[in-house]
Amino acid sequence: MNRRTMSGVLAVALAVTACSAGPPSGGDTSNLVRGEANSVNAGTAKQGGTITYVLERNILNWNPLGADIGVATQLVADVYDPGAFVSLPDLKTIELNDDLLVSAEQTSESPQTLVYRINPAAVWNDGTPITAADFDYVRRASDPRTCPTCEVASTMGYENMASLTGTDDGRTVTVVFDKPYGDWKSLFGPILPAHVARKLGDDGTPEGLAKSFNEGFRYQDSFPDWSGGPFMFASWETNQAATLVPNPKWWGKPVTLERLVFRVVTDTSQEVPALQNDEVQIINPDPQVDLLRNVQALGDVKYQLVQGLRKQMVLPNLNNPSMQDPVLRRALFTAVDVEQTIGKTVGQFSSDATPLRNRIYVPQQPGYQDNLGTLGTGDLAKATSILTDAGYRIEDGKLIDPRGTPVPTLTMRYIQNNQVLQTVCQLFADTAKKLGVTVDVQTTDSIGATVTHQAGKDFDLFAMGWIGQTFVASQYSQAFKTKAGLNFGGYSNPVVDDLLAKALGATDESKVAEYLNGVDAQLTEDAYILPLYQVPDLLAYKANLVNVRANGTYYGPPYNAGEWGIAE
Amino acid sequence: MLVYVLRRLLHMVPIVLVGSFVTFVMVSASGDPLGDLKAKQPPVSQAVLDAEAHRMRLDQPLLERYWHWLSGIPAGDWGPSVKRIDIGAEIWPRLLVSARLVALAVLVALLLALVVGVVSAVKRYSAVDYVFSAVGFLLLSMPAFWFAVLLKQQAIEVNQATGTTLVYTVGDASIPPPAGFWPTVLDVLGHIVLPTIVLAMTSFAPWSRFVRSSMIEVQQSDYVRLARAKGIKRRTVLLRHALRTALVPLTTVVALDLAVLFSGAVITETVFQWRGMGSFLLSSVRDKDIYAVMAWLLLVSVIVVVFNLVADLLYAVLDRRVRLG
Amino acid sequence: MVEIVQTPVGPDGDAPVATPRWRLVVRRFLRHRLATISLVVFVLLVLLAFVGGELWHYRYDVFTPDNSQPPSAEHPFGTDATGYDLLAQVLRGTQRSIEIALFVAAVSGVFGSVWGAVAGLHGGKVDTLMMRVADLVLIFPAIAVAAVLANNVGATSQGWLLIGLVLAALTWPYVARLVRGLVLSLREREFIAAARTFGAGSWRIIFRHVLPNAMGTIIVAVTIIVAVAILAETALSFIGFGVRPPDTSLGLLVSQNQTAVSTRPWLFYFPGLFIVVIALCVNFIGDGLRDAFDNTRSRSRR
Repeated sequence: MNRRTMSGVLAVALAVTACSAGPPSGGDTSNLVRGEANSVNAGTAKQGGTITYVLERNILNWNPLGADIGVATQLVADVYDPGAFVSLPDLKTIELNDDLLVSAEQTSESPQTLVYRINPAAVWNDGTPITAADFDYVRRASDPRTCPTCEVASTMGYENMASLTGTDDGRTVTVVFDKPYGDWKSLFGPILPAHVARKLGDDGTPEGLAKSFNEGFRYQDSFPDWSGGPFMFASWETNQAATLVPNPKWWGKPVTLERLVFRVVTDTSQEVPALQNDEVQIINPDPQVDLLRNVQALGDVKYQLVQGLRKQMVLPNLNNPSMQDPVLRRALFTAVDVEQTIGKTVGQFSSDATPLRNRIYVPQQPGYQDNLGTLGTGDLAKATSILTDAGYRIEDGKLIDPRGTPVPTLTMRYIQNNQVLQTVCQLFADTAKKLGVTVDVQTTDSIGATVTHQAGKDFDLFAMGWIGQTFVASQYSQAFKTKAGLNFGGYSNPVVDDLLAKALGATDESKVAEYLNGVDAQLTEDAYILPLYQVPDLLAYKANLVNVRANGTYYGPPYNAGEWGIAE
Repeated sequence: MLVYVLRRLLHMVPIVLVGSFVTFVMVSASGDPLGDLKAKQPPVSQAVLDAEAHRMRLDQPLLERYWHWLSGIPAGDWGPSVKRIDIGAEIWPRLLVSARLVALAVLVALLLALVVGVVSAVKRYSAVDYVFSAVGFLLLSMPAFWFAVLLKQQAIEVNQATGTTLVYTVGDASIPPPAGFWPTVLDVLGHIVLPTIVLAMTSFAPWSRFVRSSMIEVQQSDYVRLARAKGIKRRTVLLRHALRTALVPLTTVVALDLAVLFSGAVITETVFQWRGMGSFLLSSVRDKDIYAVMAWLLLVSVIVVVFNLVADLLYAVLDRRVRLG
Repeated sequence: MVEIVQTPVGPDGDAPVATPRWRLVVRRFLRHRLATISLVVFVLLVLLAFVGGELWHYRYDVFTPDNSQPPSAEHPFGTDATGYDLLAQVLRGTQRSIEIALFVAAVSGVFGSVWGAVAGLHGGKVDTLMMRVADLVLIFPAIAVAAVLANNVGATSQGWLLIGLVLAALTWPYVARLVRGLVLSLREREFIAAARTFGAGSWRIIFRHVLPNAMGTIIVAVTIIVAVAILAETALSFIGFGVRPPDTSLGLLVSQNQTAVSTRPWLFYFPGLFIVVIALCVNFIGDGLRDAFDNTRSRSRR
């Protein structure tokens, strides 16, 4: 009828506009900024100006060391709260924060001893010098022996400390461990002002300490009024924005900006229009084809697209009987074609996206090596033979296990509204069907509820993003050790437990890598977790900004916000 | 009349109570508030989890929790929040933000609906009527956020064409705010215009259709015909009798639509990143912040109930034929 | 309003046989050209979605090798980034959206009318109690309740039905309120009083006298509810609480592709167009029905 001709006309009209929209893959990359990860977009800034950076989540807890903080807390903390080390954009360099410290060295291996020398110029914004007391406050709060009720994100390392002493007017900090801790560079990132803690209730008792840490530094209805970084707070309106101004007592490289605003925009789709309308100047959204194309179409905007530390993985749940046979897992993971998955997802906008063949390291890190074997190759014949060799058979498109019972339907979940993961799951289900396994794809509204196996939200397979850290040993010992806190799949293998313990205690990086690759190889052996790819990290900003650069680590782009500025 | 109002107010109490209990059960069953905390990387100790569960009253039985919550409300205690926000302190400013948006949208939509509805009814089947009808039908048939996305894109084009930032797409004011009185007014206006258009548009279309059909119905009723037959001027009949009668059902519709408008505000506030009741609800639902969701539902339901009472009273005032029961 | 029931009323208070009246309605409806066209288009759309979807050689949940293709002969509506054929998806989405909308309208229309009529006619305590229940439902903004409920039900494969049920459970009081309001005015009228005098029972009065006279109002309300249901589903999908993938609906398609508006416009406009066309058709049909039921329309005006 009428309708048909109408839609025909429309189809033609749309086809025409589509053609003018640019090449079908990769897009228009003329605004793409590439370069050395740690120095791209370097430049000289003129004095003055305001930059607004988009935060994708509101901030409810200002304590950067708190247990229940989101990423946003760290992003803002970057600019006012100094830590001992910073992870640089190249994903491997852990650099000494040379504003805060003159040096930080391990002076002895047994007992492991660290010596931090604080920059004599370093002061908090009220003029109080930064000293060993500030380091000691973090230790006391983070060690369950001194503060059992402090809600800290991590106690690792601190619980191994035998002593922390300040000498030289508190400008030298010496830490002695009673059990070695390899990831020592993760300690004191950041520190907290001890003199402020006293005002917040720290009176030397565990209760006072907990009060200052849990409630004081949380700043429930206000915001931190102190700073040891290039910026300090001028105002904060919850859910709206934090406004920061240069810290007059800042002893480091002078700040050029007049003001730095962190604006809360919680819907990713609204970020590009806001950037286009010049209401915000820097955005760091999860990339997606159209979002990137929209950014590419903007005239005075540049963008960087790099590989981040976050990994996309498929996690099997070994607590459920249906996933307990490693043969089935190996066959499923072998049948998955990771290349194809990438081609249907991130590969469409990031030409750098390649299959990730290691669960612990990313290719940018020296420890990376391919430990996956046949997993992720998409070799259906191989997958089928793995099954048939173990006594499985496929009848009428249904996989029957060696005992003669059909393999039950598997529930695969992903966090709702994530289209990329949706595609990952559907491709997985497609593949599984070829092996006679039915995979029912479902969403979950809470990663937390799913990984803690709550009724109705439990999973057999879970497509999830794995937050990356540069401190791999401590992170992955939590993920793979028997009954560890992040061991969401219920994996347990004494060999892995042993290797992880060794990796945690090792202070030589190549030794750590050796142990961890051993772990990874064993995980491949047990067909536990299929890694897919590194999640690309997109940073888009107004073209006149300098020193703004993507940082796919936990620190995020504001790691060098003190240097941000507007080009001359 | 006063007795009626008092009686209705008394009737409200059980409604709100029953409603709050039903929603409390529903919201409590909707998920584990500590789910995200349990999945923290790195993990949180069991002691912290237990303390959280106690703080969130999860160690109490459901009925006790309900009573605990309910009995706290008169004293301004809205219950603990997963996010540890002070729900009471958070929700009032947000209510103001949303109320500003909703009130302005109602005003705009109502005025437009009356004008367009009456004109279409009077000039039924004329070109004007067809144009209004077409626009009305189109708006009725368009998803609100779809319209919002297009509107936003257009507004940005206009901004870029004029080389200024007249209208804004994010938030309800600039940060930092501009200096001076007029710049501030302009800034606030520039932020409110787009969301108001979107929110008003969703209500304007059905209301104008409604005014049109009830005007037509009334115009053809006996007493209007009688009035015309008596020789009273058409204009007088229209405005004094017909419009008045047509307004009767409209009051009900508008009052009932308040809940819809608050729902619409959820969408509008998302698209324009306002920090009103809408974004409060969404983030609370996502974070399984039970008491925050309850606070939202309680506040909005009380508002809706009160306005329904007002509508009923207006109904009585406008249409004297209705007996108040 | 009374005198225009043109067919004679029997002495026992019975309304006349229904057939001539319905025939009249149909005749009047057909005279409304836009409404007739809309009905045809709507029926064709339903056929296209339910029959065409089965015949079309791509399925909505099967990937094709073509990623992000603009419309072509092979894929008349193009494909999305993952290679789904958009025509297949739009047809499937249309099925879901129509199912949800009709389900919501039917349930809330029937239930709400009867509820409102009974309450209005009985008055007194019954009325008070019934309308309190309606109030109770009405004080819940649909989106909030649906969002809360969606945590539990939305993710299941029957999620669409439950979403429909939630929307119906939240919309019937609108119909009830309107019908009751009308009945309150109607029940003082002569013909109902007459029917009562003749000893007609409540249900008979409701079905023979009240509802037919309230039909115009009910139809307008139900029409709006169909459109509202389609749009409500869209809104729910937009905030992430509607129909969940791998199932799809028009609302879900539009919201998934909102960022594609300027880059891959076919993804945004085709499902959006379908929503607008369906909602427009339904609204016009409702308008036509309204005119058809509206007995008072004087013939001279056309």
